Amino acid sequence: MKEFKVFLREDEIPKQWYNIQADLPTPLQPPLHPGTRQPIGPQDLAPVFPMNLIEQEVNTKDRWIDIPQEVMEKLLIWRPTPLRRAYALEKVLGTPARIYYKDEGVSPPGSHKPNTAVAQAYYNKVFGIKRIATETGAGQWGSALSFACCLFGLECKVYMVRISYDQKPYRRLMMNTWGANCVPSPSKDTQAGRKILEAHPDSPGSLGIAISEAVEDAVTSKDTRYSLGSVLNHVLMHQTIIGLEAKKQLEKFGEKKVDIVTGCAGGGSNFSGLAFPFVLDKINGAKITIIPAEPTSCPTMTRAPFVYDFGDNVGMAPMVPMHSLGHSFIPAPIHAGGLRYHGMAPLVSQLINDGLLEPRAYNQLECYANAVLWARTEGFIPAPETSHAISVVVEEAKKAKEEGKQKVILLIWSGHGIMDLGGYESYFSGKLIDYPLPEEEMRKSLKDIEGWPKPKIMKMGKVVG
Amino acid sequence: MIEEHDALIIRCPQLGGEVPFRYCRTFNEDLPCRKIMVCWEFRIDISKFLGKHYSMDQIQCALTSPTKTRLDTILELIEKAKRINEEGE
Repeated sequence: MKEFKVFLREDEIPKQWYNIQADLPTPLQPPLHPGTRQPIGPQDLAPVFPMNLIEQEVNTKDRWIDIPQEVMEKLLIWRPTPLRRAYALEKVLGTPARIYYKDEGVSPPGSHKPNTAVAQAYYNKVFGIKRIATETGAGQWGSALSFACCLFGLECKVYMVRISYDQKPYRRLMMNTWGANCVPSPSKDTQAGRKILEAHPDSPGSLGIAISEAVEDAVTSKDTRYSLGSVLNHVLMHQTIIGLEAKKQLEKFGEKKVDIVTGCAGGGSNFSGLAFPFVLDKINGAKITIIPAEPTSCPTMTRAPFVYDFGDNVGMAPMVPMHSLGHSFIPAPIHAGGLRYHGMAPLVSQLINDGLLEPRAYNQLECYANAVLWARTEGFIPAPETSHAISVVVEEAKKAKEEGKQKVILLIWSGHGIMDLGGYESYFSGKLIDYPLPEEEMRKSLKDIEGWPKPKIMKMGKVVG
Repeated sequence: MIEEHDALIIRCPQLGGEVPFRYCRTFNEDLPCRKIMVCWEFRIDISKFLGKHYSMDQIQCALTSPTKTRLDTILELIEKAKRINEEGE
């Protein structure tokens, strides 16, 4: 009888997190303080993070970090999560590939986020912190932290970007149900928020404003610290329980190796959680293609023979079509040596630069189409972010079919889309249509830039043209 | 008209939820979000829109100004918040 999913027994759950900083081929450059331009020290972060998390953040020596028993007991509420086989998708695609997905949608908040939220709440608690402040966009992180703080008896204050606060009442209700205080940002609760409201009373807010409020709150309030759900080293490390579980589960499925590992990569936490334990194997010689998938548009070469990059998407989605703005074009920014992917975790950026990760980008129409395909085959409705990784899977499964190869593809299914059905509504009602760039306009644009110097083409973190 | 596309909706990868075009063109202190071209490229003639309604300086400022890492942002905000503490004492 076919096995559709594999669980681990509770005593088989990994007991340690994997700290990839101990194995980086190129160590991260120590961040410089923007004020002093000197390498930062633990005291620079002490106003916002407890020292026990700062120690994890800067630990480059210890490969394995014990998961505290108190954290484990909370993780066991929903972990180990299942590893499922996507038989129905394989059949529809007619692929010889074997597709597995690590289902992180089973946690109470519905995503992978509580893996780090729970750890961070614990470390704050043992440090003596009573309250945690954070920001959230549409509420995934805010609800995860609210849940975690509830488990450890901590107060939680969430600054939710106003436009999302108004649009996503169910997410903030989740936070309230778990006892958190969620306010729309900009708020009157901080100097940063009051300043914005004074100038723009109807401000819809932004993540930048919400972060300002949360950090100000943490620094100026008693017994309060700040927490975030992605980007930083310790956050990504907490997520590695995902990949470590998946390795054991693949063995139970009888798989001796994996060919492709993928996940969507915004800030990098869910992707890192699955991928980092496999990056260790790759560093040690295993042949694995590891693909972070980004949600940005990437035009085909038939539409844009020249490429510019805008700094944010270097190496990830480097191709932005060059369009005429009447008389002039948006010029490419000048880059210094090291490549940086704005918003992406430094660890992920470094691994891309080292050639260990191969990023890809998919436009939203393709992603929604693949998300719907997934829902109509596997049954689960993906979060829109997850659909970018699903697009990698579909692409690679089709390639495996063409090549006749029985590749093993592993995906992190980072969360369900039940709270994000508005995006599906837009897709089904045809609001997400492609805009067809008029050919005449493209010809005119090309004529206008004849003789201009050709910009650098950025690929996989290296200048190739 | 600068409001011509305001009613269109898109999923914001930063926020993780749907936002109208108006948000994308104004949230950066009334300048567009730095990702506006990339997000809207297949939905509307975004280049023409930007060229029509913004100066080159504004476009440069909005789309190509140097970015900070999250850690840089946090460290700067810590310094700012410390000053608030000092003012309060």
